Amino acid sequence: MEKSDKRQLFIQNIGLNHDPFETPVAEQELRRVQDRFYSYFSPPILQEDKKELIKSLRMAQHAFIFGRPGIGKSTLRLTLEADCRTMLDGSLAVTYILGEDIEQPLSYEEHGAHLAQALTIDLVLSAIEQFNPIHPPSEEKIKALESQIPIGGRHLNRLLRILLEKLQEPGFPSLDAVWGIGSDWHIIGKAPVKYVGGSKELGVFIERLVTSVAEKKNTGWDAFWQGIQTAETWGFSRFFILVDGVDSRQRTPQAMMKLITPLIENMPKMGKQEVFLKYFLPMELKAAVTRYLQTNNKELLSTSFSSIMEWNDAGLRQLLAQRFRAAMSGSGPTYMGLDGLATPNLNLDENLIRAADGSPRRLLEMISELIDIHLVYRPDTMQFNFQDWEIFRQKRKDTFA
Amino acid sequence: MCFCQDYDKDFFIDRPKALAKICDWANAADDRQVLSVVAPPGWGKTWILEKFKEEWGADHFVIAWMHAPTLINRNELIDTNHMIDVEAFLNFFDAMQNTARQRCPHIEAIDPTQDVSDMIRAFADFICECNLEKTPLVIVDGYDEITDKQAETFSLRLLAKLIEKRCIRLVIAHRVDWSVKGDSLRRTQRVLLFEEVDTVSRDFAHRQFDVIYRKRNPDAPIPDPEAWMGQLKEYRWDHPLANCFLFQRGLEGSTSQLRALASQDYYECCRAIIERPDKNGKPRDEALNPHEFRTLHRIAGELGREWTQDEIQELLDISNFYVNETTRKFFNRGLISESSPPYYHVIGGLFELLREMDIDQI
Repeated sequence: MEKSDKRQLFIQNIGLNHDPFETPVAEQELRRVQDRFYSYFSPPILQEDKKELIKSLRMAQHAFIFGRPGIGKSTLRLTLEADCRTMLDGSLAVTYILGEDIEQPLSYEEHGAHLAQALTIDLVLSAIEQFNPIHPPSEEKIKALESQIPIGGRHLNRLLRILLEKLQEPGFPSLDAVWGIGSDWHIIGKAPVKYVGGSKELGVFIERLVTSVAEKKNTGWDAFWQGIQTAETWGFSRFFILVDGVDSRQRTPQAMMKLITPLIENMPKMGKQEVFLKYFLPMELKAAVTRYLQTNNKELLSTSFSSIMEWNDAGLRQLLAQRFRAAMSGSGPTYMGLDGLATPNLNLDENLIRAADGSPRRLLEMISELIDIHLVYRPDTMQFNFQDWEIFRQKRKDTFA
Repeated sequence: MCFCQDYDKDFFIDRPKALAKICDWANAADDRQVLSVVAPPGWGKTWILEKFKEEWGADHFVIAWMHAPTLINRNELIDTNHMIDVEAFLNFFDAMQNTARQRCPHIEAIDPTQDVSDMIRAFADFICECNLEKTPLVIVDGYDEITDKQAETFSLRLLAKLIEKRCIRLVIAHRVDWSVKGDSLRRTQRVLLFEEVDTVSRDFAHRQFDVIYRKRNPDAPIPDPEAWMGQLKEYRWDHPLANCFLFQRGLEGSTSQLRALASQDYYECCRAIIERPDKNGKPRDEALNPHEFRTLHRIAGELGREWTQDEIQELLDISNFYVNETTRKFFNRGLISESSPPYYHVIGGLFELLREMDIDQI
C-alpha cells in the first residue's frame, strides 16, 4: 500500500474525516481544507489584562503583530479577514501579501497599484457575499463597482466568469451544498466563510460586472483611493489593510524594512481616511519598526496596537484539541490530544508540547512525523507506543538534546 | 398536571443565578453575539429560557423562539438544499415578522418566494433600523435534537444570517458535548455552563415536590417527602427532570401516602431522561436498544463515577472509545460527558438512577 494510502486509512480508522496535521502552513492548509480551515482557529491564551487579539485588531487603529515563523501570524490574519466578512460593521478587510513574486522593494506608487488591485478583489468579494436579491444594490453602487473591475486583475475576472456560468444554469445545480457559490473563492485565493446562495438577480449583477466595458482610468494611489470611494458607496466606512508575507522570500531584515517603509510613512495620512494598516511581521523586524517610529513618528508608536504573538502550554493544548474537534465527524467524544491515541504513561501531549517550544507549526509537524513513523512500524494498530516515541526522539536528536 | 418536559410556569422553580447570568449578558454591551446555555439533558435549559423570555422579554425584545427540529426536515440527512422545512420556516418567519412589527412598525412584508437565507438577512436589515434600547434576541431551542449536518445547515443558512449585522443576538440551548456549528458563531460565542452556575440542591427538590403536590391536592397540607426520598441510596435528587418524574410516580394512586418506588420506576425515569417524551408521550430522542441500555447500566455500575478511556475500553472490550459506535452514540445523546481530562462520566442523575435499579427486574 502507498504511504499516503496507509496514512489516509489510519486517519479514517481513528475517526477523523481528514488529516489535520498534513500541511501546517496556513496558506497550504487553506488550499487543502478550505471547508474546515477556519474551524482550526484557536486563539493564544492571553494574560488577563489583554483583550483578545481579534477584538483588538478590529479596532480603528494601526496594528503590528510580531512573531516567529510558524507562530500563527497568517492564520490570525486569515481569521481576522473571515471575521470581518461574517460580522459586518462597515469594515472592509483588504489582504495585501508582499509575497515571493515581489523581487525588489516596491516604490510608493507601486504599492498603490498593488493595493488598488487587492482592494478591488476584496470589495467585489464582499459585494457578492452581501448581495441580497430582496434588497438589491442601487444603480449607483453597481456603476461604481463596474468602474473598479478593470483594476481587479485576471483571477477576479476568471472567478466572475465561472460564477456567471453556474448562475445561468436553471436551478443552480453546480452550487456547493454547504457554501453555495462561496466554494469558488479559491480562484482568488480565498476560502468560504458563509453560505452564499444563488439567485437570478445575483446572476444579472455578476453579468454586469463581467460585461463591463469600463476602462482603467486611474493607476497607483489614484486607483486605490478611487476604490476606497467605491467601497464607501457600498456602505463600508473603515478599511483594514492586512499586510503579510513580508518574510516569504529570503529577505534580509533590511530588505523587509525597505519593502514596508513606504507604507509606514503613509500611515498617518491613511489613518485620517479611516484606512488602517495591520501588519503581520517576523520578530526580526520588531526592533527596526520600533526604532523607525521612535525616530519619525512617536505619536504613531503610541497610538498603534502592537503585540508579540506567543503560545503557552495551555494555549497549545487548546489548539491541538480544536484541531481534533475540527477533524472529527459529528459530535461526541473528541480527542483532546494524542494521549487518547497512545499507550498509557507515554505522556505524548506533554512531551510534544514541551518540544514544540511555543510553536504551533513545530507541534503539528512533529505530530505528522510521529504518525509517519508509527505507520512504518505498526500500520495496523491505532495506538502510538514507546517504540514510536523513541524512534521519533532519535530522529529529532537536536530537539531533545 | 405537570408533564415534566414541557414548560409550565406554575411548576417553575426559580434558578436565580442562572437567570441573572443570562440577563446580565442580554443587558450588557457585550460584543459576543451568541450565548450558549449548556447543560445535560433534562437539566432545565428550556425552562430557564422560557422564564427568561417572560421576564426579560417584558421590558425588552425577544423577537422569536426558534425550535430547530420544527424548522428542519428531520428525514433529510444528506441534501443540505432540502434540510430546511420551507413550509415550517415560512410559518415561523411570518410569526416573527408580526411580532417584530409590534416594536418596529416599519418592517415591510418580505417576499416569501426567495431563498430562506436572503429572507432572514432582509429581516435583520429591518431590525437594524429599529430604535431599541437593548439589542433584541432570538432564542434557539432543540438545537441538539437534530443531526450534526442539519445543525451545520441550520447555523450557516439561518443563525449566521440573523446575527451578521450585529442587530440581533442569539441564545442557544444545547448539551455539553454538542457544540454550536459554524465558525462565525463559534468566534462570537459566550458559554454559560448551567450546572456550574446553578446546581440543583435538595431544597430545590423539596420545592418541586411542594408545587407538584399542591397542584394535585390544593387543600391538603403538604407532607414532608424527605423520608420517602431516602429510599434511594445513590440518587441525590439533583436532576430537575428526574425529580419531577419520581415525585409524580410516588404520588400515583393515593393522595395521602407516597408509594414506594421500584426498579421499573427508575428504569422508566432513565428512559424519560434519555428519550425526553413530549406532552403527547412521543419521544424527542430515539430510545436506546436493550443492548445499549445494558451497556450504559454496566458502565455506571462497574466503573464508578469517573473513569478513563482505558478503563472503559477494557470494560467493554473495545479498541477505541472515540470511534466505537455505541460510545459515540452515548456522547452524541449527552448521556456521557467529559470531566476534567482524562476523565469521563455518565451524566449526573442518570448515573445514580442506573445504579439504583436492579436491571434483572426490568
